[in-house]
This record gives sequence, C-alpha cells and structure tokens, in this order.
Amino acid sequence: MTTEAIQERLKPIVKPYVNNQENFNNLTSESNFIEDLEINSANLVDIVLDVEDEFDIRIENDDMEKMINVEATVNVIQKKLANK
Amino acid sequence: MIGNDIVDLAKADRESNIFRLRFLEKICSQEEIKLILSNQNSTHLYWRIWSMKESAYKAFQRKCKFETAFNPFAFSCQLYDSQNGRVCFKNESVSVQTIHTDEFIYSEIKDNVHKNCFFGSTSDFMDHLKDKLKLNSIPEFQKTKEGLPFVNLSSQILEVSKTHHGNFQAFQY
Repeated sequence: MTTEAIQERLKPIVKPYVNNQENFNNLTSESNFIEDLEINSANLVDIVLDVEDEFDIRIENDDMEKMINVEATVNVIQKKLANK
Repeated sequence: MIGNDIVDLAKADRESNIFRLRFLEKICSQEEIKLILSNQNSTHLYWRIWSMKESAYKAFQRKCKFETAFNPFAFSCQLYDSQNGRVCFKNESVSVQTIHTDEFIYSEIKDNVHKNCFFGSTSDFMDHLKDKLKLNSIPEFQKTKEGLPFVNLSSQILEVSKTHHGNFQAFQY
C-alpha cells in the first residue's frame, strides 16, 4: 500500500481525538499527534488499537514508541503490512 | 523534579475502554494489570497508574531531555497506599502522590522545590502568581523550544508542569 493510501486511512482513525481542527485540515506527514493535533496522550493507545484493527496488524512496544507523528505511524504500518 | 497529570474521568470513560482487547497490555506490566483487574474499580485504578506514569514521563523528559516517545511500558508503578506510590524508569525512580475525586484523578511528582499546585485556567494561574508573589504585572506563560512550560518572573524563571484533560487543568510549580 502506498504511503498516501495509508495516510488517507489513518485520517479517520485519528480524527475523533483531534483537538486542533485547523492543523488536522492541513495534515502533513510531519504532523505531530501531541504538539500539532493536540491529541491527549491518554488517547494514543486508542489510536494504536484502532490502527491494529483497521490494518489487521499487531504493533509491538518498540514500534508503538515511535507512533507520535503521521510519518512514523505510516512507516510502522507499512513495515507491518510488508511482513504479513 | 516536576511533572503532573490529570484525567477527567467522565471524558476518559467516553473515549477509552480499558477492557478492550490488548488495551492494558500496551500500557501496563503484567503486575500492574493484575492489580487493576483485581481492584473493585479497575477503571479508576488504571487511570491512577496512567497518570503516575505520565507524571514521571514529564519529569524524566525534562531531566534527561529525551525525544518524545509513546513508551508507557518503560515506566513501572508501585502503589504504597491509596495516594502514594513510586514510578521506576531505567535505574531511577520518583515518588508520586495521587488525588482521587469523583470527577478527576490527579498525580504529581513529590518534590521539595516544586511543592505548589494550582487548579484552573492559565490566565487564572497567572493572576494567582501575580498576587502570591506580589508582582507588578501579570507574568507570561511560555514554553521552551522543547515544549516545556515555564513562567518568566523577570528576576527568575519559574519551572511549571501543566496538565489539561477535558474540564480540568492543573499546574505544578
């Protein structure tokens, strides 16, 4: 799956937890979940679990640790899909 | 060290289901999961442990200047009683105190320097500091380039930890 396609599928997963709508509307690969989208850290686990369900993958702690922005999250998903 | 975290329990209940498959395993150790599941109020104990880990994360991030990461499993909690506990990170540990009400759970690193806590909006906090420290003008709430909050009091820099969730906000300073 292309980076763009993964990012498109990631958007509706992240959306319910976003507190900065403007930055979400201008989402880029560099958008940081906490700093830019103002997602509360308590919700990061919900996003990780939603990503696992949506892409039918399992994310270990080492990978979860990096999932704080769009690019890193897309990379983790891409790697997991490639290894399926 | 300085670090605090607040959880709005109504908001947390709406947004997260701790009993969801694999949820607890992402955040907690097996020992912590046992404590949570054997407690009468598993959800509240989960949020206490979460807020302890998050407070410690903030404290160690400030101290060690590590890059932002989502690594709650790197912080392990020991609970002494209903309020006091300790969080270990690598070879270090910090004492954490937690306040629990019907509406929120609030954890704060126990520290001899940063003993104060203020609940309210940022502007109310700035007014409070002006009155308390008898300042001539309202101070400005700022963040370092690493995103760490502080207040510039002209004579000194006041380190602050801020936490906000749903209807609640608190400052440790």
